[in-house]
Amino acid sequence: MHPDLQSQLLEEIVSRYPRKSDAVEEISEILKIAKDAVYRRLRGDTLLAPSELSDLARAFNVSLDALIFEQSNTFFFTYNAFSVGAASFEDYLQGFINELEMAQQQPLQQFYYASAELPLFHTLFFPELISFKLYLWGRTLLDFDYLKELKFDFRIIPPDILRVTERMLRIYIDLPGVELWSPSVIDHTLNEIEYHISTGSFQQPKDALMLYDKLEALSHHIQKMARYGKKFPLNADPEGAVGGSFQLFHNEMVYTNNTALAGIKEGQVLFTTLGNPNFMRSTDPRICSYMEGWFKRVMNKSVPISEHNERDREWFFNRIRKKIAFSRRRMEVELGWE
Amino acid sequence: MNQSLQDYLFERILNTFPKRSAAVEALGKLMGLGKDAVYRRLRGHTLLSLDELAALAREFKVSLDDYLFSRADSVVFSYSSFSQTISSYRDYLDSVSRNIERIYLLPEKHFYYATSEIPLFHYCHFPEVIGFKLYVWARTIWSVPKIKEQAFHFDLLSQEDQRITSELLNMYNDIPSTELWHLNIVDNTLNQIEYHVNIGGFQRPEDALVLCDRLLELCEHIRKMAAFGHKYRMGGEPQATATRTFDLFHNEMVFTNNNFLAVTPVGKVIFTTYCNPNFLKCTDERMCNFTEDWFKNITSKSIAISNHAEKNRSWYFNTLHRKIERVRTRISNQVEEGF
Repeated sequence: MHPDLQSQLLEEIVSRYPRKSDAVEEISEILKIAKDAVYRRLRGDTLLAPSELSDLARAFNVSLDALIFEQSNTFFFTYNAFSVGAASFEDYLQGFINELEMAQQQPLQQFYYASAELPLFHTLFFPELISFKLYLWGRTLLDFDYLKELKFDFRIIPPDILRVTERMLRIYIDLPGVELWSPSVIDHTLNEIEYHISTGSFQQPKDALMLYDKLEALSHHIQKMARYGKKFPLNADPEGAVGGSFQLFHNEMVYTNNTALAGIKEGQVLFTTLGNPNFMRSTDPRICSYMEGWFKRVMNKSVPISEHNERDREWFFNRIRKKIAFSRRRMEVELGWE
Repeated sequence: MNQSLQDYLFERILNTFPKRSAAVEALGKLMGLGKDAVYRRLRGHTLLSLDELAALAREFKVSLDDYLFSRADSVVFSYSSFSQTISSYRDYLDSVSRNIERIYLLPEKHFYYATSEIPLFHYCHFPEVIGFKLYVWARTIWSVPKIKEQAFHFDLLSQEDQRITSELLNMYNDIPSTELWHLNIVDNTLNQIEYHVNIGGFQRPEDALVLCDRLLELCEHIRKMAAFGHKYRMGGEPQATATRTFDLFHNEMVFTNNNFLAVTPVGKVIFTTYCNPNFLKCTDERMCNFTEDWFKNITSKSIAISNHAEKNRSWYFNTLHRKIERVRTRISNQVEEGF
């Protein structure tokens, strides 16, 4: 038996006010009916019309889907590929900024991130790395026609787009975060570089080697942030810099999708990639709370490598650097530069 | 916004029927109303009660939030973990079997699989391997109490569980598939084996070596299936039938979750693992078509390693072989030292 939708909605609205009479006053203004009529609806003596239901849900930003589908296994994701269409990099990045800004307004909430590949946010530390990522997503997955015939060089992403990525980075640095990384976190980016070298997609092959340099520098910076347990910009003084906390875990055991969970005004919001780099989003409290539990379970089975645990941290980042060096050597041979 | 919530809901429902009369009949049956009463509601002459509204939205999986907040990007998913709590291996295997059987029974179906981990069905070639994977998931994801307290041993997988995994493999082998695999396809399982060796999670540590040996045999079998271009059981006789084709690609470029798309004459369905091995399921036409295009796009950028592509296939499987051997050597040293 499903609970009655009218009482669920009205209870949700009334619970947001310290006094019932305040809620009644607000409802009477929105529906343009007298207070007596509101009380009749609260008691269930008068039924809400569908138009009143939608007026109230919209005015109080209540999800009817969450009420209607509460007891089923069904829930809704929104999918960014359908909403913005990602006709340009601005569109694509603006989607991220909107979400990050919402999370930023909730200073006490953690930003959880589990990933099997280098999280996008870390590539923002180096314009060369984010330019390369945007180029290959634009070319292969976002399907931007103008990129299909172009080889990569560092000027391919215009400065105004890079300024947007700088803004994203500033917000990301401010967010307190818990990140679970799998041992293969760097493999995919290395594969992408190797693929583009093999297919002759670099305008200047030496740019590929520059990407290896930047990846190595990035590994040192992330290791430093992990050591201090906080995020800060490149070259900043870790002691004095203001940034969100950074708890990094080595998740060697549980396979994960790229998943992020953040606190927002309405509660929590969940993101997961599908058709990478596109992502799905849900604010359904059931899936968000399930995922928070999942994050905590996986953290329990993972090795913390921030702040303490120097030995594990050194091992983890040395392994990443070995992979970078190994890939670099292989590609130098391929390019005939050894 | 001129369209009312009631009009919006009916429009979405009517779109799922080929003919308006079929929709009216279904609505009448569902709401216990005559055709005239349904038509009055469709025309807006009679307002739906909120309970009717909720029941229809629930039945036809229509998002009312799309209407309220002017969204056009919602996709409905169902999540296996919400419909059923997994409290035994059987619960999970039954749920996978139910979903696969529905597809298996249809004619002219095809699977597309993009994955960073060996697809579950291949593990079913060896009870030891599927048994270990189920054990790991039961401990870490489903928190099954009786498993959480035990070290791993091969007898944890019952005869009945083995029968179900064997049937799953038969069904999977009988459905033509196109699979896009990463090079790190064995990494997660190898990490899990080493992790359990390190925490003393094997009742007999030597069993970790048996698992590595089975993985080597499994990779060898998959190599043979790829060479033949068809699926068959380990030790069985390969048969070149259209229902068993196996097109394997090495996807070296595009990171993917474990995504699975089934295309059938009656529609398409996507499964994507979420909190692996739990899965999200979606039959939304727009999402399925988008995913099918995504598969085609990735396939075009991937390297064929089945049928004639011997050089690429050898390189790919030799790399997997070396990864497994390296881990086997490390574990063997630990076992000898009595770790």
